[in-house]
Amino acid sequence: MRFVRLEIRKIMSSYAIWGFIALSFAFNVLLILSKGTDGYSDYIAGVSVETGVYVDKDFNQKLAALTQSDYRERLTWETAGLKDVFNGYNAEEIAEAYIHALHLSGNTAEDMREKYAALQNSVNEKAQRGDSLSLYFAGSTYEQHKKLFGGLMTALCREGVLIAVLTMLLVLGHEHIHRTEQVVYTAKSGRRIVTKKCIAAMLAGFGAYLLLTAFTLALYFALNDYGGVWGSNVSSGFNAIQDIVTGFRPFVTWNSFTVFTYLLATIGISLGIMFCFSLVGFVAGTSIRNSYIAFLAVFIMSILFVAIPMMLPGNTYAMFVFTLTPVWLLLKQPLWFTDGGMDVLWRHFETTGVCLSLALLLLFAVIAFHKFRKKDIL
Amino acid sequence: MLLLNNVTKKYGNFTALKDINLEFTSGVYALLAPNGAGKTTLIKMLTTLIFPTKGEILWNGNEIVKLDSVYRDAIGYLPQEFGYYKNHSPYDFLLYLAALKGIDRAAASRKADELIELVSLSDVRNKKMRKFSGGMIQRVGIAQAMLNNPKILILDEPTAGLDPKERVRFRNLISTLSKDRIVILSTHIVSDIETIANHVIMLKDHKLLCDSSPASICETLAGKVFETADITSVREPHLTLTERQEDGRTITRFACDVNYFGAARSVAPNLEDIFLYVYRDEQTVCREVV
Repeated sequence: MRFVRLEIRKIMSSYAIWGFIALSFAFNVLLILSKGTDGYSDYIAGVSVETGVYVDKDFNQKLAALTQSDYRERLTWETAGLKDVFNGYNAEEIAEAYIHALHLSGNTAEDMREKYAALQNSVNEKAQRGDSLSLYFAGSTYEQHKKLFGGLMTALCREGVLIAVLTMLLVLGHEHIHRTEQVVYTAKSGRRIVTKKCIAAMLAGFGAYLLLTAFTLALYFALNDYGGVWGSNVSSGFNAIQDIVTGFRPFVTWNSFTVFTYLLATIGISLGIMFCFSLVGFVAGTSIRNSYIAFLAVFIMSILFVAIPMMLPGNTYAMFVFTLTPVWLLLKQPLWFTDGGMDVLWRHFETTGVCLSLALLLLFAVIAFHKFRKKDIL
Repeated sequence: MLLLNNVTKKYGNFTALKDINLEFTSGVYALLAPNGAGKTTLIKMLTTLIFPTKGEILWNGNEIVKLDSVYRDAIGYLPQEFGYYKNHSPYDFLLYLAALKGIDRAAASRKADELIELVSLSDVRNKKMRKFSGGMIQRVGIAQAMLNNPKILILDEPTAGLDPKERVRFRNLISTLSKDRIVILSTHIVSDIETIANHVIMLKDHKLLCDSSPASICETLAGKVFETADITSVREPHLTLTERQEDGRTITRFACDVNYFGAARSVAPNLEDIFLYVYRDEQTVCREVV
C-alpha cells in the first residue's frame, strides 16, 4: 500500500488531472443549465412524497385531495385510466422486426428470437408487479429520463473513461517524462512497480470519477427535485425507448429498477467500463513509452472499434461481438439494463460486455506486464 | 563477485557489444572508451535495464535476471542522464527512492539525512530541486545510489558536465565510497580515472580491449611516448598526442611505434596517452603523421 499511496500522491499533484476534472465539471454544469428545470417535474417530485409513486385508486384519491392547480389537473389527466403497458405486450414482435431489418437468418436470427423470448419473461414479471403503473415524472418522464440517463450520466461515463485512461498513462509515463525510469526500474522493486502504478491509477481514476459524479449530481439534484420519484420504477408506462425500426416502445429492463437503483447500477457499470479502459491504458502505457503517443493509440483504437462493426455485414456474429466491447458499451449507455436494441444479440449486454472485456483485458494486461519486464529500456 | 561470461548485445544486425568477459571483485573499475563504444550498453546490462542477447551475467554465481530483486537490492546506480522530480526536495526524493529500494520509513529517514550530509546538501535538504545546479543534482544522484548501501555501485559518466571544482569533489567522494564494494565508473574523461581507479576496462570496436590496472595499461606504451619542442624534426611515423605551452615554447607529446633515436625526450606514458593512442581512429583531435 505504501507504493500505491506514493503513486496516488504523484497523480494528485498533477495539474493535468485536476484541470481535466475542472473542465469536465464546467461542461457538466453547462449541460445541466442548458437543459433548464421543469416546474411540472418539480411538482410531481413534491406531490409523489404524499401520493406515492404507484398509480392506483389510493394515488388518485390522494391526488384529488391536493390543492387545485394546473399541474394537478395535468397530472390527473395523465394518470387517469393509466393502463399497464406490459399486459399483453409482445416482445417477440420486436425480434421479428429486427430480424427483418438486419436480414438475419440461421443462428443469429435464433439468438435474436431467444433474447426477446427472455425479455418476454421480464415483461410478464413486470406485468405481474405492475411496474408500468409507476408514476416516474408522468408526462415528462421521457424527457427527464433522457436528461439524466441519456445526457448527464453519458457525459459522466465518458469523462470517467477519459480520466481512467489519463491517470493510467500519466502515472505510467511519469518516469519517462521525468527521466527517472533508469533509477526507478533498477531499484529493488524493479519494474513490478508498474503493477502498483496500475492499482494507484485505477483508485485515483475511480476516486476522481466519483468526486466528479458527486459534485455534478449534487448540482443536478439541487436544481431538479426528485422527491418521491426516487422510488419510481424506470419501466414506468410513461418511459420509452425509441429506435429507427420499432419507433417508441416501453422502457423494458431485464430486472426491476427504481430510479435510485438504476442510477446506482449505471454508476456501477460506468466504473466497470472505466476499469476496462484503465486496463487498455495499462497495455498501451507499458507497450509505448511516450504517454502522448500511447493516448493517441488508445484513441485510434477506440475509433477503429466503432468503425469496424459498421463495415461488417449486419447479419454476422462478428458485428454483434463488437457491441460487447467497452467502446460500444459506452456508446449504448442510455440502453444499459434493457434489451439494447437491434445491434445487441444477447441479454444483459452491458454486464456480459463488461465481464468479458475485463477478463480479456486482464489477460492482455498480464501479457503486457510480462513483455514489459523483458523489454530493453534504452 | 560479478561475472560476465561471453556477453553479447545486438540490436537487429547491429552488435553493440561482442563476447565480453569480465570479472569484478571489490575496488574501482573504470570503463574507459569514447562515446558510442558500448559503455552505456554494458552498464545498462549490469543494471538489468537491458538484457544480453547472448551470454550471462552472474552475481555470486547466480544469473542476475533470475535473482531479480535480490540482485537489484545489491546495486546502486547513477545513470548518465539522472532524472529527478523537480518539485521534490532532495530529502523527499530520497525517501521515495528508499521506498522503492525496500527500506523501511524510519531507516530511510535516517539514511537520507546521513547521505544528504555526506554529499554536502544539508543546507538545501528541504528545498525543491528545480533550481539546483548540475553539480548539486549529481550529488543527489550519488546519494540515491548509496541509499541501500550497495555492494555494487554503478556510475555512468558521473562527472560529465561538472565544473573542475565539482569534479574533484566528486572524485574524492567516489574514493570514500569505494571501500568494500565494487564501484564501476563509466567515463571518457581520463583524468577522473587516474586518481581513483584500481582497474581500467577499455572497449574498442564493441569488444573488450583490455582489463588491467592503470599502471599495467600505461606499461604497454612504455618507451613509445616522447616530448619535443620541435615536432617538425621528428621524421619517424608518429601520432601526435597532446600539446602544451612551456616557457613560451610549444611542447608536443607524441607516440612512436618504431624505434626512435631522435632528440625528443622519452617520457612515462599516462592514461591520457593510452586513450589517445588506442582510440586514434575515433578521436578527431588526434593527427596521425605517416
